[in-house]
Amino acid sequence: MTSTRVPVTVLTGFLGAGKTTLLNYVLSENHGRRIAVIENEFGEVGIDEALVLESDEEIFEMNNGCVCCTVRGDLVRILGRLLRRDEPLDHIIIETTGLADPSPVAQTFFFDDELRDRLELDAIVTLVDAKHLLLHLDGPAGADAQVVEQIAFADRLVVTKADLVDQAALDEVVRRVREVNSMAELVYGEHGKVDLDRILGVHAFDLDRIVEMQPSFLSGELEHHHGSGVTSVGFDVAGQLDPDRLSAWMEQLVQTWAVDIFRMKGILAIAGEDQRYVFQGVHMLVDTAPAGHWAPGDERRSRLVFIGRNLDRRQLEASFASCLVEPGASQRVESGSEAG
Amino acid sequence: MWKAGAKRADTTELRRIVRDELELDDDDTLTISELACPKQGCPPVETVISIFPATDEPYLVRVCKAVADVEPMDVIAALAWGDHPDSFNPSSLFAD
Repeated sequence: MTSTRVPVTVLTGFLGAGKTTLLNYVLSENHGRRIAVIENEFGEVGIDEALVLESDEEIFEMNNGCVCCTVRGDLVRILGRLLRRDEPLDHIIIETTGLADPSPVAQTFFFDDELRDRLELDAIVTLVDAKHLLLHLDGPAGADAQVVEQIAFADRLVVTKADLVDQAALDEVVRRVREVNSMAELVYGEHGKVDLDRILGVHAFDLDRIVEMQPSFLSGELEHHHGSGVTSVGFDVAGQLDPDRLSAWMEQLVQTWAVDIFRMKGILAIAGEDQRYVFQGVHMLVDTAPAGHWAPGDERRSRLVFIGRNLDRRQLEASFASCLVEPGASQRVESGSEAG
Repeated sequence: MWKAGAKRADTTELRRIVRDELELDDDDTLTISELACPKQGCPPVETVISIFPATDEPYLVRVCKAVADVEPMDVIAALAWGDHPDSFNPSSLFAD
């Protein structure tokens, strides 16, 4: 799928995970591309060609105290300013602080049509420090919520400092990361370097990427509930959806689950529509758009994934299946175990 | 909120009205969002108009309707009564 929108990469990760090192590597390897960098900790990026903008985290609440209605005002202003420039940009990278809550950052790309029409959230890339991750997940006060949420929001998880731990420790890190987010692709960094094709220009929100979602994830094989309560739930339902029931379901979804659902993506097969629909959202901000025609002979089926806290797979799946034109046609593609 | 068969509402006219009414310039950023906040006490759907002045604090006004249903007069009324620095504040009538 081609896009004329400016791609934006959000770089997150806890303190010391290596964000600035990776950012400097990205900029040094991207000669000739017009990249703007928005960062909270000014002065750490040392590439002359890059347009570097400083930003002070400004949380803007549209409804008092509700995490679902919170965006980053500083990013809104800076992105607006960048879009008004005469010289077009090839890419924008936002480096968040290690303590940043990813929800308002992600929601900034969903809450206004003009921003959504001109910017493409290419991917949320979260760096995971293999040496220290377990300390953050198993600390005396329990899992650090910010670390868990940064992992949960990721489209790409870059494991750094893997050379500082043995294979058993690395396997444990991967297992723990997968408990929270089974959807993101894992990328390994070595000494601050990663395969840039796997973290930039990945179009993580495109239809093709959603189609590629792993069957093991959709089956529930990897589903677990652990200390943080954050997990991934996915399902695949054969048949076509009644548009009115689907609208009502989405309204109910937002009212019931908005606070606990961090991210959701999917493909919808809607009765009477020749096109597939892509569905994506962050908390209560949901966007649905046509994404190309069904090929002749394609089986009409819908595929959804959710990442969030205390998600109830049975309730989500059963309520979604009730949107089918013929509810009896609902079925899971794989028969994975229900972990609890 | 998505409705089957519904096209995304065009907010061009709403943006023009807000910019004219508040005399915003190009450096001021304006956003329009349709929210269905799950928090108790919030309306089922509302249009939130947020203004991020280039050099001042952001503020917002709201209309308790979906974006597609908002009329120009709703915006003008919301701006007049809403929570922005130049608005008329009815609670001031009852202040001690």
